[in-house]
Amino acid sequence: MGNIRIDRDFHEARWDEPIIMELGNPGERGVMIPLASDKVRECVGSGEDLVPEGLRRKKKPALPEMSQMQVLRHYMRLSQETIGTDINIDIGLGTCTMKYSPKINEQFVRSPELTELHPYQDESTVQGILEIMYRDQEYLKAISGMDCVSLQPSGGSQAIFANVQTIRAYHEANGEGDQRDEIITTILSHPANPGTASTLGYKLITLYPDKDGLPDLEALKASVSERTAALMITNPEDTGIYNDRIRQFVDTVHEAGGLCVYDQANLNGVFGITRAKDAGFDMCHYNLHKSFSSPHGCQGPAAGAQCVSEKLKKFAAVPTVEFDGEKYYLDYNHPDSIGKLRKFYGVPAVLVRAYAYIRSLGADGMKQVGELSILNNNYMLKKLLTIPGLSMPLAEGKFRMEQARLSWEKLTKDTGVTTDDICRRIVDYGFQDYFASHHPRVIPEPFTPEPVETYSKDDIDEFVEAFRSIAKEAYTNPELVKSAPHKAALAAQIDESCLTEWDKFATTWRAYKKLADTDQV
Amino acid sequence: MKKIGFLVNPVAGLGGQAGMKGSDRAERRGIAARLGYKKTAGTRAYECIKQVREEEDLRVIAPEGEMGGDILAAANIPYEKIRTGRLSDREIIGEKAPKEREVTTREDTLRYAKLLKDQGIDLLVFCGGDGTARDIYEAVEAHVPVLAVPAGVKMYSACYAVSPYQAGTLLRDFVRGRQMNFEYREIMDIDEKDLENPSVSLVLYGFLQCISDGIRIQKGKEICRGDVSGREELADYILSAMEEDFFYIIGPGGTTYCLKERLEGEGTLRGVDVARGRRIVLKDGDERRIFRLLEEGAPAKIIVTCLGGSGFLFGRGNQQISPRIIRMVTKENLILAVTKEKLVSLRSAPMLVDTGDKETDRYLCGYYKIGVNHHETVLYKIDIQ
Repeated sequence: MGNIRIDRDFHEARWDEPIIMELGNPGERGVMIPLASDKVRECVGSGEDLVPEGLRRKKKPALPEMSQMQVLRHYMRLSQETIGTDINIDIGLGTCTMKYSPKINEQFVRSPELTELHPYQDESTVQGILEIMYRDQEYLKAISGMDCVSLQPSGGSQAIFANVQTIRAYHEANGEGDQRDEIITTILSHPANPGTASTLGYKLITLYPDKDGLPDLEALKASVSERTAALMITNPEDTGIYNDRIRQFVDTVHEAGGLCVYDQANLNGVFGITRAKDAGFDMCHYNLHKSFSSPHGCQGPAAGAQCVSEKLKKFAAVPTVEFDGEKYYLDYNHPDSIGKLRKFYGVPAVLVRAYAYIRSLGADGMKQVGELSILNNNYMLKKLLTIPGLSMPLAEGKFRMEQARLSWEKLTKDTGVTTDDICRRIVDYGFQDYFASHHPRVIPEPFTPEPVETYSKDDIDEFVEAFRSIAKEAYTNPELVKSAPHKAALAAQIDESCLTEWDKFATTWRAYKKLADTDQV
Repeated sequence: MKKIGFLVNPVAGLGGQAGMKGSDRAERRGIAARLGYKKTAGTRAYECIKQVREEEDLRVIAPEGEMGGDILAAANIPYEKIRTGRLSDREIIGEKAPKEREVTTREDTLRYAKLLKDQGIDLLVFCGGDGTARDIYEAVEAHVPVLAVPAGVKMYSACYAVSPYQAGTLLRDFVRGRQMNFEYREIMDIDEKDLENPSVSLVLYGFLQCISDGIRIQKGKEICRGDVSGREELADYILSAMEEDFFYIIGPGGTTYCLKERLEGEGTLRGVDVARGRRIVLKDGDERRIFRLLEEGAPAKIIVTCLGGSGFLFGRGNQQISPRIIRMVTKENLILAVTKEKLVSLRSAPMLVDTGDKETDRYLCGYYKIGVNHHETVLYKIDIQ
């Protein structure tokens, strides 16, 4: 038995810190910028003259006015009020693949060799980073089985966007662009799939799970037609159930003339074990954060990789990095390409971490990542499912891959304590709040843990025991859980209607002030 | 030897096709009968009970007449008439049974259910709707295991079998001594006095001890409250696709009411309305008036929603849209007004149909495209269990 504690007297720092817009005093400054010398002013004129009349503000911007020390203190306090991946057992954040990102990689990323690069430098002077990108592409080709990789996307959703653009380009090149206007996806695939397809004007067809917890194959057969542009699917889906009929899905769509796109944002369950190409897919994408070790998108810069098969190579996003035997270069020579998705060439910090990660693991190591993730998960599930009130609906009893979607439904029925209550209570135990589910909540009172390969047995045991303790609280003292959090940075519960009701949205300080002035907040 | 109590509420379901949303109140039944609608509960009870006519290890106890005896006789199943506890063992109260009174009331259901309980039955098979289930609950509470045969109008309660046929297969399994579990399931109803009040929601009346079977026993109606935007999107979408010449037969429910609110004229929450040219042309129609409209020859479509939780599209609270109307309109002209949230509440189970006509039920089976908004379609299955 390792060192497990569930009685840690943890509490987040609580500073009750106002947001920065409410801080400071008129005239307070962090940096006093000296006036330009007379000579300079004579040559250039006044600063205002440099800005055309129409672009000038009529009023000064309402920015906080603060000195350096006060700014520093403000952000230090905020940093103490978070629970980062480095100080908690972040198993609860399923689908985000919160693995340990080796600290040595930060030294590469923060070295001046990388940080001092400028995107407008001549190619001959950036051969090092181009080589790393080229090698990333080659490794990802090997991992996916695909024939061309573009590192253009700056995140997972942008990679999916690139894939949908590629679907359109392919059908348009075949003269079927207008006819093929439907994209099929599943309710348990990541919402970015229907989201991007819809943004690009496609009609969506959504498949629901059948009794085995897998997308309904018969529904797919009933939905394909000459209008089918593509199938966009995840395997395993958020439930962690491996779809062993995936080949039939792919064949069904191919027979109807559609393309098949594999969302592999989270690769952990099949890392080094299977390849998208082998299941017949035409395209896939990876999140180079998450699976390839950079912290997940919202907690650090992301990067996506678009991977396509030979027949779609000419449509892939540009530029790709190529090697002519002597030097590495950015290749824009793809006349049928969907074009660039953003400025410049990808997100180098994430690409360097991914490179270091792949190199340090090797082929065998990658397979071990997949195997350990699955082993960790099934060990964790075996223990979690002994907690009263917690169950695993859909294909009960079947092994899961790297993650699972569980349900507190019974606990809620028994005690009135919901998954949202538990999610707030777990913070009091020194864990980050967990990921319940994407919407809609197909599984009631959901909870989606993912113990990636870097967690130890002790970590998993401690995680499980914390939830066992909360379940016990729910049955004996439900109010304690329902009124949580008690030790978090925020003493009050957040009114989530501000996130779900559009007339309460305030995405800027100015919008908030307006709502506050009319007493709507 | 299994001792089965058999009790039929003969007037259950009478108000269905007549658009009465229930049959609890005598005047509703009177109107339905005057309009020429027939009692249907007996047929549905027969559909169930006939499946045990070959069984030998069985004693059936039932009241005489249309509350049980007639149906058992038709199915060729011998039965014992209910004995009263107070009179001598041989004495039968059947002579004074309602068959001579023409009209049965809930007092009959209450009395017979209590008598059956007193006679130590192993299982009470009753046929009716939510009102009947409430009466049974009042009479026997959760002390007697029950099997509920769906024969009413709304049937939102969780005690019912998905169809009379499946009730029969459960009964047969029970008589044959198959391993069965029992659980407490909810009795829910709307007070029929409050039918016209749109804000009235379901009331939980109590629990009956029912056979536990995830497939053959229906789930209770679930209210999907959190999905207002989903409903509105759906209503906008259906509205935008409505064609001028078509009659739209729009079923009851909160989801379809959202569409009715967008039409000219006033629609009903719990009734079937017909619209044409985006205007309600028949409010709260009964089966015959709807059918007559169709006979005029204009093309028509049916817009229905399914019950949250149980997934019923037809046969639960919308009997006005009868098998002959469905056949005339054809399933190609069926518009399923179902939000994603509601589909989620079905927990991977198919949507169900129980129109009262097996052929029509089979005809309706298959995959349907359900448009949930302007951009998105869901492929989902209709099935009979």
